[in-house]
Amino acid sequence: MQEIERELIIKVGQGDMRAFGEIYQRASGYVYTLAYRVVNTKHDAEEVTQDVFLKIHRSLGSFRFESSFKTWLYRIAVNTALNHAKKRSRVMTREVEEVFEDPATVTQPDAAKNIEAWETERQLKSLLEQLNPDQRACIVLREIEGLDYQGIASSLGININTVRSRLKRARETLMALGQKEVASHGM
Amino acid sequence: MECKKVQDRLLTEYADKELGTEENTEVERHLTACLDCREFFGAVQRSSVIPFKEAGEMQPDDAVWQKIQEKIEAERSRSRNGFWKLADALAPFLRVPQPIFRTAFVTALILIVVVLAKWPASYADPVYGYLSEQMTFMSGLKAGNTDLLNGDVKDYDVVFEGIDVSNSPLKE
Repeated sequence: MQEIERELIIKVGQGDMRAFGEIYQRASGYVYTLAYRVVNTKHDAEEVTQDVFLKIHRSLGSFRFESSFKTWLYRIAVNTALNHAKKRSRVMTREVEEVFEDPATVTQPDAAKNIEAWETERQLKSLLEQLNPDQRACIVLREIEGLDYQGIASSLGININTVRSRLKRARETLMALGQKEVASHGM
Repeated sequence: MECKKVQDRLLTEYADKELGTEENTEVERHLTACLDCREFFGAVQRSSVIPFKEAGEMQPDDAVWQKIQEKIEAERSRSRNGFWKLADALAPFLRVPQPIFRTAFVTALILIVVVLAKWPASYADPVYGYLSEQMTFMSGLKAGNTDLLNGDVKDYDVVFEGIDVSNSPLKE
């Protein structure tokens, strides 16, 4: 996601809906993708996206430009998604459609690539399902968003050692799963 | 560097390029010499790094933007309404933390159970009520409380004067 211009943010703060629409156009894909990776279902990712943009709309008027808009959006998006995922895992309800749902349209030029993309999505989804929400958020910020340890720590409001240990546990879990799959294919 | 320590770094800082130059060189030197650790690192990459590299960006349905616009409009019209403006201003003061609610509810529940447990079922019986009333009345009379006789007769001995006890089996 590219950085959003200061003028556009000021316009939204003044109540300009068209300017807010432009911010949505430019940032919604990023927010939705991040939310989907953390909450792991289409319905929840849409709810999180909606919540994030409502929060942004309410607080852009008082945005002081102390941090970049992108960093601020990261923080709101990942924490909203994480809270949603934790609430969800407490309720422990899972809809049947969530097992093989199509998360959304991944922009690909032809059918073969669509199948490939769908397969990648399916694999990613099943990998992320093995992790708890905290580990998932760390892996997503590191592997997909490319944040360094400091960036992950400040986005989630935790210290670097916690980031390190969550990444380590997450990778150990994923490795164990990989070994299990190799063993089952070998049988 | 021991394999255990190297593998710890391979799962974290080495994979994420967060190691200092010196330690990074040390890990790489170990990897060149140790087949087990090389295989371990290959497994880390295959299972938990490479699958995420091909993740694409997704777009939400158009309905999401529609819902956001509707909610913003609802919030705006709510903020224009005087009653809701006042309610929103008071909301932080009226908001009671959930644990307080829970404690109050449990206390009230315990209180109700205790009161009901202590309340004898016989109190609700109409026969018990009538007898209890009569006993109070009679003990009042015995104590000389003539006010209980509606003010017509002031001395309770007079009450019994009109009663013919000559045929009573109690007569001795």
